[in-house]
Formats: sequence, structure tokens, C-alpha cells
Amino acid sequence: MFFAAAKELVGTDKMEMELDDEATVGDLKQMLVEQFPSLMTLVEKSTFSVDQEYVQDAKQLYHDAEVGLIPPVSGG
Amino acid sequence: MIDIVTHEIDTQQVLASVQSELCGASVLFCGTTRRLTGGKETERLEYECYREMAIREIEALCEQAKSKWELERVSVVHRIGRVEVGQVSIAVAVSSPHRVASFEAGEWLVDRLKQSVPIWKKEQWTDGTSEWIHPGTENQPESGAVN
Repeated sequence: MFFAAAKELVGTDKMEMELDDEATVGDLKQMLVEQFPSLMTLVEKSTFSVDQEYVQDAKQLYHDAEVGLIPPVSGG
Repeated sequence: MIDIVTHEIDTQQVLASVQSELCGASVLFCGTTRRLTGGKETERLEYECYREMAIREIEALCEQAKSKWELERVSVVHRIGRVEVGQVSIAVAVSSPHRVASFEAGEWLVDRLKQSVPIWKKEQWTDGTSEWIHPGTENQPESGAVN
């Protein structure tokens, strides 16, 4: 799922991605940047979530996981 | 009371939601859309959120605050969508038997909410341009420096 500036750069708020078994969040990050080079600088400053919880790059993904690309937040 | 709403926040209702006969203190913080930022003039802000995750993060922070201070009740209401200059985008209310806990916990909560809850604001400047605010990226200062 994409939000804020990332959503504008990608042009959609969500998409499905096919990944290898045992792929991690780090693998997904690399794939995203290859597919959308304009995301690179924002992705470097962003964190990811899996099923609405912040995760590290080493987190392993599974089928149907809901992954969020969370750019630096600015609520309040 | 924890909520994310698309309409005007009733701040008196948020304050009332934490008041109790057990409390000698209740503190209400209101964050509002500011006219001027770094010499530029704001027309309005537009907020969006990752709703399910934002609610979970707010709940987790409220629980942490309750474990750090002797609090009775905590309420957080954030508005998303368009928020015009002068209008309230976030209301945080805290109550406790004694005032120090409410003042400290209220400030801590607002600081933490701004750091970890997946909500974003877009500045609509009066010159017709706009930008998403992502602290620490490109020409934007780190979180806490300006907002």
C-alpha cells in the first residue's frame, strides 16, 4: 500500500506483487525501486509495515501479506 | 476515546471524555493549521492516513503513556482530509489525580504521535503549489523542528 508522496509517485494506492517464496521486505524494497526508480530517495527514508505493524528489512513475507510503504510521517 | 474523523473535532467533547471525579487535573492539547511556516503562507492542510495501523499505533502510545504516568483517562482524535487555517487537526486529552502527570504525559503523547503514527499532511500553499510533508527528506527538516 502506498501513501502520500509515494502514492503520487507510483500513481496508485495499492498493487499486488509476485515475489519468490522466502522473499523479505528488503527484497520487495529492491523490486519496488527497480520498477519505480523515482521512489528511490523516498524509500531510503521510509519504513515498511506488514499487517499494520512496523517491520525491519529482514522480515520474511508470506502469501497475501499486506505491506505498507510508510514514508516519514507528519501527523499532528 | 480514540478516533480518526473526517469532520470538525468537537474539542470540548474530547476534554469531557477524560474528566472524572477521581481526577484533579485534565489537560487538552489542540493542534491547529498554522498560517505561516518558514515565511510561506498556508492555504490549508490535507491529511491522509493508513487508518487501521494509525489506530493501532495511537492505542499502543496511549497504553505506554498509562504505564509511564499515573493517568486516569486518555483521548486522541485526529482529523483527516481538508483542515483549513485555524481549524483543529488533532486533539489530545489526558486526566490524572495530580496535574504534573497530565502535563508531562500530554506533551510526551503529542511528540510520539508525530513520530510514529502513519498520518501525513500535505501543505497547500497560497501560491498554488503543494507538497507532502515527509520530515528528513530532500529540503525538509527532521520531525520536531517545525511542526
